[in-house]
Amino acid sequence: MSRPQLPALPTIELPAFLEPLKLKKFPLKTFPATYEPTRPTKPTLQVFGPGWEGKQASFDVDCLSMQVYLKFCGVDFDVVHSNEPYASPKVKLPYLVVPPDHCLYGEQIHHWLQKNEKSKKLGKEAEDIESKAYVTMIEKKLGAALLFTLWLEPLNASELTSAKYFGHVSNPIDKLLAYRKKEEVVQSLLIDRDVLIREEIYQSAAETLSALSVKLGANDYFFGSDYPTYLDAVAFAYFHVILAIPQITDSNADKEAKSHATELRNLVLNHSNLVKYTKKMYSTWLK
Amino acid sequence: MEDDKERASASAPPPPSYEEAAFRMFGLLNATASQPGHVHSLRVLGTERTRDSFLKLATSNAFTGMTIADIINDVQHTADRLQRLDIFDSVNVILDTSRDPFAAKDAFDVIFAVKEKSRFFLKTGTEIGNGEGNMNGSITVRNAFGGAEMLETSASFGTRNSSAFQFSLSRPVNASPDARIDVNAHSVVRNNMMFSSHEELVRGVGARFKGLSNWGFHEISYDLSWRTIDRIAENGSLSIRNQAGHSLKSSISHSFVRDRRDDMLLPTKGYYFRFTQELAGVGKIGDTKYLKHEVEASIAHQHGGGEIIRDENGLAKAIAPGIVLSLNVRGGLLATLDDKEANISDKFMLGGPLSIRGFRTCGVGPRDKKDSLGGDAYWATGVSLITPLPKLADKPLRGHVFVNAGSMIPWKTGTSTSDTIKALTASPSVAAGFGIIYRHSVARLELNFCIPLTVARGDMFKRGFQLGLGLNFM
Repeated sequence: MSRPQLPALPTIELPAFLEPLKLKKFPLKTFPATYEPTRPTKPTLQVFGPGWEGKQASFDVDCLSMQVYLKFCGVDFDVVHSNEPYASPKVKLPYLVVPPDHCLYGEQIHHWLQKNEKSKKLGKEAEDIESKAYVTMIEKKLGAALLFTLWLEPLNASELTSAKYFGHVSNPIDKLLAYRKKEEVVQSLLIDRDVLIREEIYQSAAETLSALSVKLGANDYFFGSDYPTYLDAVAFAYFHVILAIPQITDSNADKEAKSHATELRNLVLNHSNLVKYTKKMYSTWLK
Repeated sequence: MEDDKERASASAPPPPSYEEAAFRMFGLLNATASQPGHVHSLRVLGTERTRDSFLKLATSNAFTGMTIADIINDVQHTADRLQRLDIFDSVNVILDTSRDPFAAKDAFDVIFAVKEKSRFFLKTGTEIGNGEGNMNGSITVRNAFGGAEMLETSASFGTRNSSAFQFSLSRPVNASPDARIDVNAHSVVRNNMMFSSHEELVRGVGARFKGLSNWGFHEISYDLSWRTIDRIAENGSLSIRNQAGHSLKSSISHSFVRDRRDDMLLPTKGYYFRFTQELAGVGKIGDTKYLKHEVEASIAHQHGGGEIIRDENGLAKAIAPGIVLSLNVRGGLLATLDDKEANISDKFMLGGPLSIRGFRTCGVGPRDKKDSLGGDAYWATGVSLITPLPKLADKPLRGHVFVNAGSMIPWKTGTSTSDTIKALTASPSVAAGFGIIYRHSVARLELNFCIPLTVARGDMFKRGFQLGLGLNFM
């Protein structure tokens, strides 16, 4: 439905003798600006960071997958640890700032890559579509398990995740934000299921990992490709984030809680080819 | 007495004139003023909810007088205090020689007959403030606990503050109408889309003391607020994006006002002085640490005027306003106490019809694209010559010519004075113009024709007509 077109407003030409009223000559003098904003000279990816143990790799899967994908695509870019989702147009990190000051997020980044002929796709159309299905599977199944591990395993949530995501916010607001985030995670997980059962979530993550392990086999990249694609970026990001979470060594902690906190990590560790793949990817692309 | 009778028969208007009564009263007072006397008893009639202990404190001054003159003055003063507590509709004073048979000869009884104001007070309305309009509603519980406590809950929705909720509980200190303390909680959404492409959500609690000293009005307050800068516009600049997020501020501030103008909106004479300091980061709470000073002074001087303007029947209509020269100066400095840059919500904003005319609201100072970023140091000044309009001198309407100037810069703690002065004077934004002022009972309205003379690159100036609506003009 388009709105009815209003007739254009008449333009009134000012008589020549009234021309001075427009004050075109003013201001008489323009001084230099009081402040010059700094502009990025190359694309800048705004992410959560720094990663565990102060590493460049982000601790957030979405950020890390985009970070490593841009590397795959050969983009020369800077990483900024902004940690502030509100800064993003979509209230979500990551977002990419392209000089002079365009902000791209989500699909827009892919469009931008395509336009600059940098995006990495699999050669065959059918494989490309299949790889998209894999990405969706990882994001859904493994994503749910990762969210559960990060925010709903009490040990991880209180000792690690909250501090990583909200550590830069001053006390006690960080606690409040962490609590809110936890509620959000619960709500988002409940979209797909009626009840949250730990075993169920980890079970489907285990199945996904097995499928991925089989798909990868002994290849360097998924689908036996010669070069990494978006699927590799996403898969690597998940494996790396899961493996990089520090293990809680505090002996006071409840033993059961400790084993729960590392359950997902152990599931990945079961697949030696995935672990090898993650290590190799990290040393190739992020060191 | 004969005089009286004569007058009564001679002229039509009724004779028992107010002046006459007052004259006699003064005569009587003069005769008895220095006679000794003391207040024997004091009663307050008509109170239902007001506590006795509170009334005792509020009227304690009435007992000090030793002569009749003192007693009358003290009682009058006390009645005035009661009235100003804003809990009574009316306060009537009855002063009589004591009826107590055991009282001394020169004893007096004082009776305050009061009528309490209704306890609940509901108000809805629209309001116009400095460059913003809003509609609001509030519920006030007066005299909530019998000690002139005021419980106020208000909500408002407006152009600048999209929504604001406020709750406050205040009470007088020592039953004095001139000193109040209050505790308050507030939640405000500020819409800064127009000039800074973001919204700001502020939630906070605070306590405040307001009082008078020999020099003027003081306000000391503590505030703890959680600010969130979010909803950055799609095309918001990077500088604004970098400001997004949460911050917590714990601050104490003091502000001092001395107002000796004859009118707040359109003064003809007198001066005004305001000085505000704020220290943020109190008690090691929060992530905002700075020291902020702001000063404002204005002076108005009247030339001529004072003649009585009469209408065609020769009746006095108004007093000629004369020509008024008004000068206004403002300045501010924000020094951060850590190495972080100050938050945009704490910075100064400059420009607009109420500060530097001829520039858009927040149109002067540091900016990224179309977003005003605020500054850490600024000065601004304005000179206006306000004249009555021919044939309209009796109306609240004036014409004026003005020159406004100012500059705002980013500033880092530790910058040398000479560098600061250089930066502050390097790029002055100056505008001149003329216009009409209308002084409405609640606000001042100006329609000006502005000519920007010099600008700093990036300033959002406005040639031609500009409308200003507000209370505190420069």
